[in-house]
Amino acid sequence: MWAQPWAWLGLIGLAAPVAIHLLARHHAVRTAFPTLRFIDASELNAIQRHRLTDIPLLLVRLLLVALAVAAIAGPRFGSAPAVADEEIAHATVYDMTPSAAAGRSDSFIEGPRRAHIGAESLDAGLMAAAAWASRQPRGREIIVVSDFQRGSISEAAIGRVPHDIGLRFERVPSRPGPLPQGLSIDGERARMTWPASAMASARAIAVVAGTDQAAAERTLAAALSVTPVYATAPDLSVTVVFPKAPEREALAAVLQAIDQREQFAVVKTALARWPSRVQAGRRGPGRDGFVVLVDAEPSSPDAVEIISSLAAGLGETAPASESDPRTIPDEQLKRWERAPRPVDLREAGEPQGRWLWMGVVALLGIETWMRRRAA
Amino acid sequence: MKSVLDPAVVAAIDDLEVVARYIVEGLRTGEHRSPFHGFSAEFSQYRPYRPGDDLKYLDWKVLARTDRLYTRQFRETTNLSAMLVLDASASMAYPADGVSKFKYARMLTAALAYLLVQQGDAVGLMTTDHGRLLYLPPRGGKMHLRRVLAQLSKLTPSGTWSPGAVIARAAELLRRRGVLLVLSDFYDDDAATLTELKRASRRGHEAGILQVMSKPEIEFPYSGGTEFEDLESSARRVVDAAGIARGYRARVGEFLERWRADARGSAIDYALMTTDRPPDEALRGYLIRRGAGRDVTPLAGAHH
Repeated sequence: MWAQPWAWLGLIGLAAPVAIHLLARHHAVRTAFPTLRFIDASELNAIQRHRLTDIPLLLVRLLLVALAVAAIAGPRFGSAPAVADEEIAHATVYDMTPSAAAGRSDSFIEGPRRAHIGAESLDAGLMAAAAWASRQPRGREIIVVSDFQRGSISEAAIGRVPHDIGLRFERVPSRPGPLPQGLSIDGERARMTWPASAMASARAIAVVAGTDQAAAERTLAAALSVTPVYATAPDLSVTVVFPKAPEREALAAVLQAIDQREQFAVVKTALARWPSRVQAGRRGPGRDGFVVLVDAEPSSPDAVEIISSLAAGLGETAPASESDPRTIPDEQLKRWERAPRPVDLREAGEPQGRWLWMGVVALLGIETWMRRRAA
Repeated sequence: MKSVLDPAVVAAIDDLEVVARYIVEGLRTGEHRSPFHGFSAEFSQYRPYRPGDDLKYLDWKVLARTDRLYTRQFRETTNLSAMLVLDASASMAYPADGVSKFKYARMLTAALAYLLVQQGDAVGLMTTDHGRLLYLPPRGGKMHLRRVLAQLSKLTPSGTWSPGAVIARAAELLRRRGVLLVLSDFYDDDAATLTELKRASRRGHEAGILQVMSKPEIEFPYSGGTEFEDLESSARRVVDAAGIARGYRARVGEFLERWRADARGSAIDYALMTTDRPPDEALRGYLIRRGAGRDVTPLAGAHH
């Protein structure tokens, strides 16, 4: 791994010592001689053209140049320290255009080490994500979630993202058409339901938010843009509750009374991932649907991910149409992708290069000694 | 017999006369005869007169005493006249440390002069000093020897020389048949040098060359990036010495072999002298070979 890989271009400099040794004449020792008639001039030229002089000194000089180039390139001996995924700051940009998202609104949900950005323009979203990621200490990555229709993201915007920030692209299928209704909010109880007309026969994913309906709506929109649900069981409804602090204990007691064996399989993924923050159960005997109690702020990235995880279990998700001619090809997206750098080596000043510089200094000393001895 | 004269030690002695004497004494311990025979007239034997013999060689005293005709035969050995030609160009200053080719050649020249004068011959010197021609005519005697040695002592290798012209001049100045010995590395103007040596040989002189070389310039022990600077032209070349060593050695080998072959083909005495060899030992080997006539016809011979 190298901090400045372009420095290897300096290896072209290896040609310099070779040229010097091919053309060198200055080391010749002058000797008075009775006649030059037996010293053949043509033989002399041939020797000057093809013969390298002083091979040991040349080797030292080549090694000197190579070592200096390696030192400038900034090596990191051994493997780079691995950075766990949870240590990487993720900024997720959601394509909120009608072809990819359930709703149309720009949003910015920020938490520690994570941010969810809904954007109607991916370029603008990318820049907002880059700005946020740049403020994070190390290990930064931007994830762009979109159906990547042609023109939705530009090469210029990709180029403006700092190189130490990783880029990942997750394709979601294009929606068959614009969502006609969006989400509706059940006023007093902040019960957010998903109308059946919007999602085929789906009954709903319901979100009960404490007070902040707008936040809950944004969260749901963001979650469903990550995991679009095309069809759910007709009798299925899940109510997600983000209880406020006073309600949390009471609701938890109710849920604990529910028979855990009846927990719906679809919530198990979420339960497994967030065991201490998600509890779920049937609403009660004779009542359809489930209630999921989420210990998170409704406008937090965790909330987005939990709902997204629930949505994935609810119904079928359409496969991404990779061959869709209207979208940016996967090959292009792969070219744009890059892994996050755990640390900026130039700024961090990796210590391994010092050994190479010490080697360069030592070789300089050897080279000087050999040159003087030859003179 | 093995020499005890280290070239470096001998070269360090400033007095060339002492050096020459050391070397020649070293030669004598080898108990061989000098191959430099003069032309002094010396009675050999009588033989019966034959018609056509020159009457001036008829021994009248014997005729009067015995009434028989006898002709006196002489071993005609007149005095040898030798000219030593020494290359004092800058290329002879190699190597800078130790015994340079010039110092070595100068020692050999001094020893040869000493040897020749000692046996009653005449010796002359022809060389250059900073491009200026220096000439001492062939003469005998200790006083002349000292002049030759003093002249040699003053010399320092510098600049270039034109061996062809110098050899031609030396051959001209040898009034009668004599010995012309050239001590040089023969890097300059090979063709003219050989031409003039051949011409001198045709004129009846006994031409000989002592090619003085140093071990490093033959074996080329250099390695690494080396900038070679020509001692005469100051031109420079940077080479990977180890890379060119094989080709260099091959070319120097060809050069020396060509000189040896050319000399032999032209009846010119040839010897390669390397500066790491004790001078008396090198000179002894040369004189023995010369006496054996391997590379040269013995200069002196009975003339009946």
